[in-house]
Amino acid sequence: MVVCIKRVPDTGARVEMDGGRVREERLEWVLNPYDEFGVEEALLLKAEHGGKVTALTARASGGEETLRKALAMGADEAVYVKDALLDGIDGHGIARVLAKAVSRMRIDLVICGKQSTDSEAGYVGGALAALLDMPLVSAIKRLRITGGRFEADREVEGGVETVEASLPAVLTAQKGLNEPRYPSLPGIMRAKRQEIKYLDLASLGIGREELENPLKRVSLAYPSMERKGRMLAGDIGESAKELAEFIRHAV
Amino acid sequence: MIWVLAECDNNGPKAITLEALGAGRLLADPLNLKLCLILVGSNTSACAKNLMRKADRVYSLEDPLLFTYTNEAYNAALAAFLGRQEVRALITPGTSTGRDLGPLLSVSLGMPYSQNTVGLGVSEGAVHIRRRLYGGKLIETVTPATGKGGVIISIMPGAFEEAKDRGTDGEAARAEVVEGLLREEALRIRVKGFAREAAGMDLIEARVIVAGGRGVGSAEGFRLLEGLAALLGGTVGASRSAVDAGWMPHAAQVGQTGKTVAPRLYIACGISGAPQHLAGMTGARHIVAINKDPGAPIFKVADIGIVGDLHTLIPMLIEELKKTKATPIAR
Ligand SMILES: Cc1cc2nc3c(=O)[nH]c(=O)nc-3n(C[C@H](O)[C@H](O)[C@H](O)COP(=O)(O)OP(=O)(O)OC[C@H]3O[C@@H](n4cnc5c(N)ncnc54)[C@H](O)[C@@H]3O)c2cc1C
Ligand SMILES: Nc1ncnc2c1ncn2[C@@H]1O[C@H](COP(=O)(O)O)[C@@H](O)[C@H]1O
Repeated sequence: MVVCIKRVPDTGARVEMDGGRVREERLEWVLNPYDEFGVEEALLLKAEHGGKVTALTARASGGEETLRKALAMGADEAVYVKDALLDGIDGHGIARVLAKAVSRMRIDLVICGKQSTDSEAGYVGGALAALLDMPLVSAIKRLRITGGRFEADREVEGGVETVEASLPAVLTAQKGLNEPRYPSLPGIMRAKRQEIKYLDLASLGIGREELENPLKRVSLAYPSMERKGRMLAGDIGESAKELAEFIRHAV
Repeated sequence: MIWVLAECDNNGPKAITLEALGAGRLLADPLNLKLCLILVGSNTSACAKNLMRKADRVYSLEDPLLFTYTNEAYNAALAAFLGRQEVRALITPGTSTGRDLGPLLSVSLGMPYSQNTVGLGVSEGAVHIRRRLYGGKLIETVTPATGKGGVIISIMPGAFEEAKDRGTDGEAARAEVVEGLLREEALRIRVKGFAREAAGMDLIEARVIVAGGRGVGSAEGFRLLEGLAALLGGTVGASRSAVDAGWMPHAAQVGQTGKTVAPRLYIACGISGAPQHLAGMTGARHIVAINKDPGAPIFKVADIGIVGDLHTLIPMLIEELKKTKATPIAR
């Protein structure tokens, strides 16, 4: 099993910009919450069916901490595609890099997060499935594997869809799939000593030109989220009247 | 051409399909391109009927194996069909289906994919896409690097005005699914069933959402919110604190780890307005906040804020709304 993981800014953090770019050095980083569900699910599957859990990340720098978190939770192995050329590369390129890395491993299952909380793209898992020519089951909330097949519940509008598919496959994890464990102290100590396996783009046979972002940034801005709201703090009966009037116009 | 992928249910096109057509117009008209709608399924005519006046051309892609959505069959059929067409942009709905399918189409059509799109425009002949990043903390504008190459644009529900009827019907066209393209035995994914969640949980489609947080105080407190929602033809949502307290199911959670919603009206009751909650609801057209703390951050994103106890205010509000039964809903 391979679990694709990435680090994201803590969702509570303020995201600041500088010259049209996010000021990354000021951010606090965490393992993408959806990837945490992915790691946990792989560990649960390992406990039930055996096998090996490999955590995989691709970025220009700073991926070690992310991988150590997965190792501390119990992953067996960590692979880091580290290359300066990955700086600023979006999901289109990342999916290609991950696909190349995964295709060199013998695997039954690739697990990604439903989306990352920074890009909110929900792209890489699906693109990876297409590039690897494996079935994709996205936004899963329950998983059961039997033999070469599996059954999963997906979250869709208004309900839950149950699908069945063959392995190998790519799954993306939705909240509700499991409760990720906290790394134990021995786990954290062990993770510090575990070796991280490094790969670079040259060793994967990928050239810079294959990674050009197909969408170019024109601008980056703060949204005009703040509204010039009217505050009603006086008599509550009057507030209710005025609010009713507002609601009648709004709907 | 500008393409729009329709999403329908038993009652016809979903609201997001009309919004996707509205979004498509923003590109088709300035680029002087045709706006083409694609319906996929095993019997698309019921859905097509309602949409003829909103597109220049309506294509139906039919096959018995497309009766139930699977990303595999839809991707194969759409890639085969669109691969032979001129595609400047394909607009897909930001629903669970659209978000499942979009990345697959991106690879099979060799086109970039842009998610969470909240605005579209044309500048010097180039398509400009405005999208949310970091849970709405930033808005990025991007354009295809290849200039005129196609792009797949997934739109946020609620972000675009619905398309208006044009005077005349668009042209109807039937798109053949290539014989032998979809073979049942070759499909690796099969849908086994669908379980509807508790009624009224369809937050993404909801026009009005009355959401409650820790300030609601109890599961019983949510009955009050349900009363208000029912009166407005809406649905009840919740903050994570209310879900964690067990007052509402997770399916009702709005925010970063819940649903992203964009109703016409969002009424936040006893919700402080943490960034993770705001990430899911600032796309609402109108926002009302009810909170007893005048310093609550939720007031910063509200069009109208009431400082007070929700348990006193909401019953009074319900009375007021009943008094002058709301005028028919005007869109
Ligand atoms: C990784 C991560 C993901 C998260 N994802 C989400 C998410 O998806 N959705 C989400 O909502 N949160 C999410 N959170 C949690 C978020 O940070 C907040 O803790 C949560 O939104 C707070 O919920 P609340 O506003 O209901 O509660 P509180 O912050 O406790 O606010 C309660 C509010 O009610 C008001 N109040 C109390 N009594 C009354 C009354 N009688 N009348 C009127 N007002 C009253 C108070 O003044 C207060 O402002 C996430 C957090 C993390 C770390
Ligand atoms: N740089 C990366 N390295 C490893 N996995 C990634 C990376 N970027 C994205 N992923 C995986 O793809 C999922 C979806 O990411 P995104 O398409 O950015 O929303 C994440 O939850 C991860 O599982």
